[in-house]
Amino acid sequence: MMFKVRSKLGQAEPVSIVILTGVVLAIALAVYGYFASQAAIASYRQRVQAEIAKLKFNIVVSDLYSNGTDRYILIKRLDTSMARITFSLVLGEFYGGTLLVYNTLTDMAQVYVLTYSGGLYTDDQISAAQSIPLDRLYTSIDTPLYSGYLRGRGLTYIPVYYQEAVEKPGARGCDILLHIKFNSPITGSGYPMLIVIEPIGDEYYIVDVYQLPKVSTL
Amino acid sequence: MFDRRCQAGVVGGIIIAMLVFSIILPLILYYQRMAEYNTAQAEIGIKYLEEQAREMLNVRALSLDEVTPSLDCPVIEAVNVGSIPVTLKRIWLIKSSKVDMLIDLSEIDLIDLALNGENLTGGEVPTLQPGYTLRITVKIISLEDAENYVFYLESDRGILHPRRGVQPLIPSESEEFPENLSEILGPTFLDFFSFRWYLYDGRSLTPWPYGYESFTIPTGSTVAFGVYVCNKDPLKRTIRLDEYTHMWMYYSGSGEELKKSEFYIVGVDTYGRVYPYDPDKPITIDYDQVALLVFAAKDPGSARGNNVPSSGGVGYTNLLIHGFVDGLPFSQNIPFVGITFT
Repeated sequence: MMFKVRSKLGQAEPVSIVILTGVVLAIALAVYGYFASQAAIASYRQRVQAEIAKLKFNIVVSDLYSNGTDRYILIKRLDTSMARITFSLVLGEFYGGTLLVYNTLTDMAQVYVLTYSGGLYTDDQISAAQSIPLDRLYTSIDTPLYSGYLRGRGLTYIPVYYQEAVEKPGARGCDILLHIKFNSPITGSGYPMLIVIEPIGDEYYIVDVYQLPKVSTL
Repeated sequence: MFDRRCQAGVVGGIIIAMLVFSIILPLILYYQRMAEYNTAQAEIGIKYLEEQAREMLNVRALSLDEVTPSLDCPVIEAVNVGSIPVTLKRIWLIKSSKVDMLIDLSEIDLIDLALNGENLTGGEVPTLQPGYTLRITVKIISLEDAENYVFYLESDRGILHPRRGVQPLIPSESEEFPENLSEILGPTFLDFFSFRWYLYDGRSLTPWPYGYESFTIPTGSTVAFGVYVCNKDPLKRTIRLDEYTHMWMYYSGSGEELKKSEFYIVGVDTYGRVYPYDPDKPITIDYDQVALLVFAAKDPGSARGNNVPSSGGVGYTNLLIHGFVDGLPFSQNIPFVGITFT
């Protein structure tokens, strides 16, 4: 029986087997490639989400002291003995759980970092080192910051401050102590918001937002 | 025919096995590792917040009589009355509400440190184990200048001590509370400037525990209010509060008529999570003790939040302390703060 079937197929049989095998392998490779690329994308998104989650848990913002125009804020990272902390100061508010940013506060407040020298801490003014593009600023992995208000003011970038945080021996984590000095009352909508940002790849993620009270008079 | 089917089955099986072992299985393991990692990180964050809440220091400046031999500079004493070690990092010296000096506690040129009576040589910030006492001699300020200062001690967990109020760098000579005042006005008193408000999302308060120490509140928001209350009962009895303790407020509405709103007392755990006030686990305030009372609920014994007015204006508030003293019903109404809604 087997002999009869083989004789019917004749010489074309090896060619068809090679073609069939090639087609099957090509399909298999395509399927494998699709799944592999999806897996790579999923694992990247997972890595970013894990990084954001880690930072959310490990960044603690404490409003230590204020006197109306001056606010002293401690930004602490619990997970490391040395880190760069990236933050921005904006005017905004939460509306239905969504962060709305109305404007930057560069002209209305000066930002100082308290640096240690000879036992005393002194104000060291820092300026926004860089601007980051709004279309690459995300509140979570899938959610870009709603930037309509800023674009309405002709802003496509948001200024950010970078500060290296170094901890002394014998303590936990690392921190920076900021002094924010408001030089103008804040009227109208929105509150001063300190937003802590983390660059991951070529995107920027808001990992913590701390809303400050308005400064009504100087 | 059977052979080819076998071949196809083997090839298909190999492909599926490749997919499972090279993509799906590593991905599952990766997700699992990430979940474990996130849980570990969350635990670190929660532990830190819990430790923040458990830090307890009694902090005060010593009077001249308490310092021997006498010195010409102020001395601060901190006693760890909590259950966890506290590492102190900085002293904040504040003059006319401005931060005048911020001194690192590892710097012995500006200060002297004595932990449980033993002088520290400096270089490292001091850690107070539970029950330990730290004395800080602030050499950089003379006794004369010290009269103008108040101070805080900052821990490495980002807490300023004393947590409530401020302490002068030189204690005032008379700190006696006029007892007859409580016979006239009632047994509970407010620490007026400890008034703060929190954003309340229906589950927890932010920023907890400090809140926003402000008398201006955004219109239309769901908020909770907090204030420290002290028991100065002339008979030195314990006050037990019930779920009818609340803050009530009149505010200007759209017309000439004043509107009324109530915020009832709620329970809050160490993480700022709100739960309905449980009269079976009441807040009690012993004589000369203070308690932070939080008002958030629209109804007694609930945790349902209440909104402040949606239009700007002024609110006139009162505090109703309701409960029992020595098992007898007790109620005291205290005129409270004025609030501006913007």
